Amino acid sequence: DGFSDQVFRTLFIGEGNACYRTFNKTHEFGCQANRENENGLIVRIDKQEDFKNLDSCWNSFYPKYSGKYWALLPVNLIRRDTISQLKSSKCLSGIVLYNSGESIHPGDESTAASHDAECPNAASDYYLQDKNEEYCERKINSRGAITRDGLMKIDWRIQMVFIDNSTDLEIIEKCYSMFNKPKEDGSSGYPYCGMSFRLANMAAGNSEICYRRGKNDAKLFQMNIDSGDAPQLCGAMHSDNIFAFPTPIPTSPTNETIITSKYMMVTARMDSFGMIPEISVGEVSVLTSIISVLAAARSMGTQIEKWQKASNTSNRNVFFAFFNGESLDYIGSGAAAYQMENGKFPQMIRSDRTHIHPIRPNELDYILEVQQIGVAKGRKYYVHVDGERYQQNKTQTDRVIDRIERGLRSHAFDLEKPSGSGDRVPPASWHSFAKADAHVQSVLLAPYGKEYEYQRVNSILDKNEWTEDEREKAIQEIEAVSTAILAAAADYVGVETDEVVAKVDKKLITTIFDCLITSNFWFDCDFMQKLDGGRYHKLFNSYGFNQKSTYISMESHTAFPTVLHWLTIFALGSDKETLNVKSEKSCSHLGQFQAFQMYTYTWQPNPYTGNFSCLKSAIVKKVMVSPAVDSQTPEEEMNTRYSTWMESVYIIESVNLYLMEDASFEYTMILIAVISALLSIFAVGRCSETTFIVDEGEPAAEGGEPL
Amino acid sequence: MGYLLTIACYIASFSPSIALFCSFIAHDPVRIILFFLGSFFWLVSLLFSSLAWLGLSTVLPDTFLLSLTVCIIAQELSRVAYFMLLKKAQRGLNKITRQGQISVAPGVSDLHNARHMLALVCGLGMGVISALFYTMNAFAIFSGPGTIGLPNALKTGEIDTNRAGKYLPLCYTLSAILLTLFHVTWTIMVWDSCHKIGRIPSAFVPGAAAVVSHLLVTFLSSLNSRGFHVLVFAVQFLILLICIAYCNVIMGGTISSFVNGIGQSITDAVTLKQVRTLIEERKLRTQRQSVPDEPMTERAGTSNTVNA
Repeated sequence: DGFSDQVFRTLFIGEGNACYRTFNKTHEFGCQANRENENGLIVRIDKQEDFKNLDSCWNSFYPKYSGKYWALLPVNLIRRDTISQLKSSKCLSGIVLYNSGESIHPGDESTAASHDAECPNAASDYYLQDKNEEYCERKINSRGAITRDGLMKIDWRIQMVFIDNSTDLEIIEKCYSMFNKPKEDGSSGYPYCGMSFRLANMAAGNSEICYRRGKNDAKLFQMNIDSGDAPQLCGAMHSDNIFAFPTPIPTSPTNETIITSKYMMVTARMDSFGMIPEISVGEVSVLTSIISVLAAARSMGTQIEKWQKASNTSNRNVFFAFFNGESLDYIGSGAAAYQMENGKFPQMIRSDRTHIHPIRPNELDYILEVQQIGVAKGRKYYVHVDGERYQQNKTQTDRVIDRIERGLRSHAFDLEKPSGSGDRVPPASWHSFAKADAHVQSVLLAPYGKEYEYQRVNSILDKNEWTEDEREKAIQEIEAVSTAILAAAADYVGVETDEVVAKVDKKLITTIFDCLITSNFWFDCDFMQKLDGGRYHKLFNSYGFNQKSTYISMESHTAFPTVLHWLTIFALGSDKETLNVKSEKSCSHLGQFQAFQMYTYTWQPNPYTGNFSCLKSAIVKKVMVSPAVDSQTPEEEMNTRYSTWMESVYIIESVNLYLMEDASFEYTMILIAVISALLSIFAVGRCSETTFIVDEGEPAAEGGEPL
Repeated sequence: MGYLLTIACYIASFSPSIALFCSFIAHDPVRIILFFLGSFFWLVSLLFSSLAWLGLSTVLPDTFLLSLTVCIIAQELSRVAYFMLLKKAQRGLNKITRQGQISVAPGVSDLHNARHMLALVCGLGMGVISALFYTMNAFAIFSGPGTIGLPNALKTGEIDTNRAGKYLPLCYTLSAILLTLFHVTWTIMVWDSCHKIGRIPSAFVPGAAAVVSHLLVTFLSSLNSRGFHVLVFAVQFLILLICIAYCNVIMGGTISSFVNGIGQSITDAVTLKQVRTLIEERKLRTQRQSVPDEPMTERAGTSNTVNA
């Protein structure tokens, strides 16, 4: 490509490492490249005081430069007091974010850096939609939130790129220090180190526009004649959700819709986000809670016969739900509630034959959700219920809460119980189901009361340095919460709670904690490597496939749902009935020839031994799309009861570093061009045809054959 | 940097070529074809050079000088090949361009005694394409936000001011001008050798001078990377002047007439002779127009008288 290798130092930026456009029903958010914000001189903002230079556009350092800047900025400097300067600056092209290397501990209260809003999911709140509350009345995340509406809801003028690769970061830093770093007297001169980056989104406006333009009839003229495909401009955020049924759902004959069972849904969310959406591990926002639910599921899985027997007797079942997209107005749970209302959960009703009995919202007794486990102040936990519904069914709910308390107490944790009818449920999956049914109860177990204690919920900085004590405390909390889940579930289905039933495998918790939280990547530890057994392939060059990310995204471009699916199969799957199956092919055949798809058969290794076996489980990995933006549910189009979050399709280019020269020489060159043109006209004007046609007296030449 | 700079660079680099093209080529279809054929021959020589470079680089560790020499020889051979081709074609061309008969291609100039003109046309074609190849990538870069030098600077830890800097566009521009004009002179010289070979014993001298000056100019260019830009351009310009003077001699002039010509040109330029001439011409035209026409009746009367 010409001289570009002598001009540009190119740094590859994978999908997901940069800020791009997202939409809700009314607005567009995120970043978009334009002529104004592609190029800039690289500057550093290393500390709070450096923001003064941003205000003055670094004029004192680069007086001859009048263009824009790319600021190299550590993520931990994105704070309440700095965000407004970044938003309002007119001399920034963009920011290059990087992890500063400064360790943040889970209990660190000095870094309030939640990229979520003061009232997460405020627009989808049950109480708002039921007109019981004003918008954002309970500012539950006010201690941590950087801005009122969260950093995902900002329409940035600048671009943002996240550099995770230390080599790339060193190159940018070197380029800065070689050319742009002010000398001791504060001055600097040309040439400067510049940077260009471009992320172009295909869509604009809001979800409604995007959804309308995405319809096939609107894209008729853009259709590729050969393939019949129309280019996708944007898409609804969606990904896999995991539903695990330890006690398989009963089947119903054709057309039978009689309510036969009651359910307790144990749930934890599996998604998080950051200012650059993909960049968020969600250690406390997601992972610790998931580990506690997984540990409970594993404990249940080891004694599954007891649970099944009790469920069959009591007609009460427990199932696990890991919802995706919950941090973005409850995408997963909203879609699940919609499907329950329409008799499609967990599968469509088959009118022609025996089918799995669909779970309906009124069959859900309790939604037991756990959040932000591992960061409790002291040894206290809180249970959150909806006051009105609690009063309606106080006796039974108190019994559940009592079992939770016992579970926690067995690990020396206290529980603060609900105070009365005025209680409101914090942001949780329950809100989706509460809209669908007036009786479903919430039992939300979390280490916060009126406000979140943890100040980095849904943040790039939800990635901690755990000391040995902090790690041990977090593991104890996870163990206690797992025990509490088991105790409540056992009491609900009628299993006699004893030491065996409520026994949680602490070693397993420790292992999964180290694998999912301490390790750099999901498959870095021995346990996960054995569980993988060579099945994981980095199919896309995206952040979610190469780094730990729990963002939902638009495609299945993150590894986490797969990781969680395998862990759930490990927790609840059994090979007791499939010991004779010795190959992957035979295992997959078992699943294909079921009369109704109740069980799944997965050829998966044991994470302790690495030996493959065919695991039978009733686990559904299901892509959930919010009904408001799902083309399959046109009747719910843009219904604000459901999430309307969409993402633009985008083209991401590499970061290019280059040398910038003084533009004043342009005018000198124009002058030279004019002189050159005048001289040429003058010199050539003095010549004529006769200057070059010379009669040398050659007969042939005179005859017309000059050579 | 920006588009303005790129445009300025192109204007400065190709002004002499455009002026020559407009004055001597643009009005003649055959010359236009020969001009582009010259470009084609130069491209073919470049193709052979690159193949040779590829072949040599698989055998030898450092092939820069050798490849450069091969490239120069290939260019000179392409000039010879072009001469031979034209020589074969000139009878046919002569039939097309012969004046005074019904021409199949009206508007073409005839080829009588036009071998130096043909050399100019073909040499300009070669020069323009070589200058274009030399500059276009660099000029494309100048239109963007950056300039040459960062990847190397990051590797070595310091910027090589001889290969980068704000004067880089000027260096490319001057090189392009020189390259174009050199190709014209080299073609005139080589073709003169080709024309006279077998006729006079010293026929090889212009060809040899072309090859030597080509080698010299090229190896001088390689000194640019060591920071001798001013010196290199000064020497190259001097060589160009010598080449032009030599071409003048080949075309029947003398050194003194060349020097006088340059002196006169400078004097005319300083005294704005062209402008004065232009003004005088206009004055004359105005005076001619201001003479009143004779009355129609008188003209008619005269006509009648003549007829009578």
